[in-house]
Amino acid sequence: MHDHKECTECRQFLEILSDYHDGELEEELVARFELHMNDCERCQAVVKTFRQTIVYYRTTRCKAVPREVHSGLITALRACMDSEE
Amino acid sequence: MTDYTDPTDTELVARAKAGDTEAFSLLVERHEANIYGLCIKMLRNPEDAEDCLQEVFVKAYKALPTFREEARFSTWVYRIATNACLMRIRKRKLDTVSLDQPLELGEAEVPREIADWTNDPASVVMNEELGSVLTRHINNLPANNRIVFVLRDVHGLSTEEAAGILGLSVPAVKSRLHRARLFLRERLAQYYASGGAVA
Repeated sequence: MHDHKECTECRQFLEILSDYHDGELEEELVARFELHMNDCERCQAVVKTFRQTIVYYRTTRCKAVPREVHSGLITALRACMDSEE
Repeated sequence: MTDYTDPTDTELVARAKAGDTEAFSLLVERHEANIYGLCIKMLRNPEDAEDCLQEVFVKAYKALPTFREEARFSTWVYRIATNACLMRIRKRKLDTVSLDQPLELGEAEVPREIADWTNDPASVVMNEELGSVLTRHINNLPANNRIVFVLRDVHGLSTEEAAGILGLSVPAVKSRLHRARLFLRERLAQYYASGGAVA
C-alpha cells in the first residue's frame, strides 16, 4: 500500500471528493478516480467514511418541534397578529 | 366535490397575504421543525433557538406583504432564519472564530485516520453517545462553514439554494462545504479509532 499522505494523486482526489460524492465530477475524472481507488484501499476507506459521515448528519435533522416550543411560538405569533390588526 | 388535497405553500402564502392568519399558521406548522433545527445547530442551545424561532416567524409574518415569491416560501424563511442566527452569533460572540475567517483545517485536510469504520457494528445504529459526538463536532465548526453544512447536508438543500440563501457564490458554498465535510469526517474517524470512546 502506498503512502496516502505523500501520494500526489491521493491529495488531488481529496480536493475533489465532494464533487465526486455529489455527482458533479466530469466523467473523465470519475474514471481516473475510480481507477486509482482500485489500487488504493485508503482512498476507498476515505470515500466510504466521508459518505457515512454525511449520512449520519442527515439523520440529525430536526423532525418535530417540542410541544412547549411550538406553544411559545404560537403565543408570540398571536400577539404579533393581534398588534397588527 | 370537495378537494381534500393539502394546499400548497404558494396557495397558503396568497391566503395569508389576503389576511387569513390561519393560512399563515399552517405555513408555520409546516416549516417550524426545519427552522428550529437550523437554529439549534447554529446557536447551540435550546433557549436561544426557541427565541430565534419566534423572531424568525414574527419577522416573516410582518414582512409577508413584501415577499415577492421569486423564491419558494421555505427558501425565504431559511434566509430570514440564517440572517437571524448569524446576527445573534455576531452579537453574542458565540463563536471564538470570526464569522469571516475561513476554516483553516491545516493537517486535518489530509486524513490521518484512514480505517474504514463503516462496517463497525457500533456504527450501524445511531445511539445517544454517537449523537452527542456528532453534535460536539458540528459545534466546533466555525459558523460560516457550519451554516453551509447544515443547509446542504443536514437539510438537503441544493448548492444553488444554499448560495442564494447565504448571498454567496456557488464556488464559495462548495469550498466551505468541502472543508466542513473533511473536518467532520476526520473527527468521526478519530472517534472510531479511539474505540468509540469520547474523542
